[in-house]
Amino acid sequence: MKHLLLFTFLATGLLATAQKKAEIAFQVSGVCGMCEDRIERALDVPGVIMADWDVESKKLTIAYKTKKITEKAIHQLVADAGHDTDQIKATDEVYANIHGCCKYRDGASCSGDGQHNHEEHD
Amino acid sequence: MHMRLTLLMCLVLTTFPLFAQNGGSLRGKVLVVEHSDHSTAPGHEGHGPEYIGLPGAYVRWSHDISSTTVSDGFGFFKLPMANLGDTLLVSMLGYETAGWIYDGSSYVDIPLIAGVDLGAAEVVERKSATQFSLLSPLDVQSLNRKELAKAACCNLSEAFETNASVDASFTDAVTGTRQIRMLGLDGKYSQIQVDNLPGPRGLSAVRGLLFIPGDWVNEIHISKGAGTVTQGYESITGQINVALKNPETADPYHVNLYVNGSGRKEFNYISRHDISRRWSTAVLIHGLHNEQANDRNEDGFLDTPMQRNFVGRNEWKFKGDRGIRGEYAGTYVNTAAVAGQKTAFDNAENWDEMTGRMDSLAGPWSAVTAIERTELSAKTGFVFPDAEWRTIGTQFNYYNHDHQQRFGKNQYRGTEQFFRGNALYSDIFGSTDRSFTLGATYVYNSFDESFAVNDTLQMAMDRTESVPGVFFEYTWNPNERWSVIGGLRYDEHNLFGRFLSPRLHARWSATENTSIKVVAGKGYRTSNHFMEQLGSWASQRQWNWNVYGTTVPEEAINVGLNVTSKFRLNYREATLTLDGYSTQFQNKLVVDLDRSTGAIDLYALNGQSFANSAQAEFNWDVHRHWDMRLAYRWVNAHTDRAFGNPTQDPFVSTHRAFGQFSYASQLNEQEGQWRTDFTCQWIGAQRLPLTTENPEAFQRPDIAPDFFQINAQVTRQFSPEFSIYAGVENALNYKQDRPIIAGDYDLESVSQTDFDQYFDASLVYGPIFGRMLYAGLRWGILTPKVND
Repeated sequence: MKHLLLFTFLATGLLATAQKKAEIAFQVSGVCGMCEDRIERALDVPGVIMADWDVESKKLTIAYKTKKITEKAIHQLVADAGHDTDQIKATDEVYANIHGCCKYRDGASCSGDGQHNHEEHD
Repeated sequence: MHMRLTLLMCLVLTTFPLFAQNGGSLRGKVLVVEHSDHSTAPGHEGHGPEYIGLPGAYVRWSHDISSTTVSDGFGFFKLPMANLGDTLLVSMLGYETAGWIYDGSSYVDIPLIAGVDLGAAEVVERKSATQFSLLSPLDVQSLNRKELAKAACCNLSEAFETNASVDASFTDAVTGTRQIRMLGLDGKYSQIQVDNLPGPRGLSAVRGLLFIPGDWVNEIHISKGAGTVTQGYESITGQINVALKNPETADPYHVNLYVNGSGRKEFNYISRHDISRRWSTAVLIHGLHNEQANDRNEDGFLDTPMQRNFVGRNEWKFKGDRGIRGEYAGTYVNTAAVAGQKTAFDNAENWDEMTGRMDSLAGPWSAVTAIERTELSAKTGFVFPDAEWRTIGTQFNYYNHDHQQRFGKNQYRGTEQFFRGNALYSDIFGSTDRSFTLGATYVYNSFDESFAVNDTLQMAMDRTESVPGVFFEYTWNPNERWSVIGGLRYDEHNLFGRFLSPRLHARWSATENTSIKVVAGKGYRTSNHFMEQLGSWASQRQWNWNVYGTTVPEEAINVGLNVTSKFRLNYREATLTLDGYSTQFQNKLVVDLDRSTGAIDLYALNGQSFANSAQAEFNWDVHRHWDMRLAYRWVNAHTDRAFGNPTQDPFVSTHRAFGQFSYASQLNEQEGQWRTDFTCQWIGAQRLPLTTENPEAFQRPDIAPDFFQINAQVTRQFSPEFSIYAGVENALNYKQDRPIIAGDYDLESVSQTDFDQYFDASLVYGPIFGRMLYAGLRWGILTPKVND
């Protein structure tokens, strides 16, 4: 029985790999873990297989299905969430709405003025 | 134990010089880095490190002790400016001390890595989410709240249903307990701890799991193989450390209600209160009520016990400014349960009358249990302000346990007092690459048990154990690839002489993503057979103890190997874990149910006893919203029994396979979410004790059939504060065939003589109740979070 289970899931995996995929990486401005959440959540859309933004290097690594989403659309999604990419800048309106401590254009830091609590809840 | 999750990690320092120079002072934040190696809520959690502010850390310039300051409630600190090139030191009990060279910036983030030094003395808990650690030399698996919420576990014995490392046996109809098993051996060979202090053990080794409500649990850390020496000689197959919600980890208010198809209603209340800057407290209350008489298989016996449980706990946490931390807790348990033939309770007016029948030996077969327990614990830790790696910790723990029961005509009363004092000192040899913990323990454990059959006293036993011990543990990380923890403890037992327990854990990283761990160690335990074989009370078996030799302390050596590899599959994270463990007993109390269906024989091992196990587990974050886990485990456990009876251990399935699939939808605006979890397990054939000497109607197969268990649960989270859930256990409605020998299964009714001779409700290998539906809700007020 366990063989059957294993087989089913390997098969699912193989089917998935039959589609055309690409992995790219580019710079995205941001500050902290909260930004990371926002960026990665914006990329929780069909066509995106994996999105990972690194707080330290500010690098966004993303794997996607080329038939379902374009590289440009990915940049747009990030910018729409309020974060500048190396191709598309976020509009001032969107940028104005992101959390104070995430305002990367104004030299903000995760610490803010000590009033913000970044503790995640589960 | 869990502090070792990221043990021996090479210190990674990152800085974010983000503020322009402002003269005057340096500001910054102390953070804990949490690598969400395995996201348990797909599509929700990020996949990189998470940063959480760490309050109470010491921050100072290395050249100036007087500059010492402490990070505030969110981890922020402020120090007077120094010169370029000066070193900033950041330290915290339970974390590796970090150094940072001042580069002229006015703001800095200092991440701390959970620490080398204090596996045991640590009194601060701030780890989560990680499933398998590549870096800890211990083979530790952690289950966090999200993982635990995948099955609406009501108490600790039910928390392992979605876990491959721990097998949970099936509840028998009478005691309502689920024995757990690790590496093919009974749960009594695992050391179960609550907040790093002794948990279910002694007389509560089996029942004690029921007193830990699932909703109270913040995290469970399961480590296979012999555990650390700092916690005693008892761990043989592994350690399970349950971290309860405490004044730091609990939400300000939390309420949980649960109801299931067997009539069980549960209530949990947890709240946390900050009393002052230094003191905070948590209140935990659990109530369980079930007075529904279930007899679905119409054998005349209740399928589930009727019970009422109350558990209350209050914990206080002290966080001083000068390096002192303390945790002080008290717990009270009061529980009563009745079970047996339905007719036994037909004429009972109310609950008190049912539970009051401790002495009514006549009439239909029934079982009554009443337990009262009080626990007190105190942990205090101190970090030297001028040497952050140097810490002193003390742990004091006391409980009083009173267990009274009557099963049929067998009456039992057992009381136990336990005290343990543990003092630990941690320091380094020259550098933090070589650290050690050294300490001393004193355990006092007294038992007073009496056992009567048909009002005739069979045994009255007093036993007082008084065990002083010392231990030393050395941790060495020569480089990133290697880390080794070696430990030795020596205990002098007043009854059984010297116990020498060596333990070794080593980790070698073959590549950045693959690590190999080796564990070896020796453990001891003393047994309390009446309470450890609780299930056997539900039978007409006669207890024969010490029949073929003198009972000795159990003694075993365990060795194991674990390989963990993390990789990407279809761009998404996956983990593969393979492990193998072997336990060899030098001494063991053999429980023999095979010699006669009318007896339970207990005797010292003569010959050999071993358990070998192997497990493969594959976790894959399949999709943004999907997670899966596949696992398979194999066990081969044998014990030489008298008269050449079968050596294979009963009730242990050689094969068990397991698959879990979880879905979590995208969070909506209110952070609402749908989550579903689906678990399918296959439990292979198990050997059952011989019943061949019984008349045919009272025989059962020697080998129990294999079967499937499917559990599913749907959770609707309306917001992080409020969610409801509903699920089904045993969806296929599998039921063990005729679970009670001499139960009334479509035969002519069983004669009283046959019943008195053959009744046995303890041979349980599968579910008795069948499909069970449940539903519940969780409501809470969370820590305020500043939003945009």
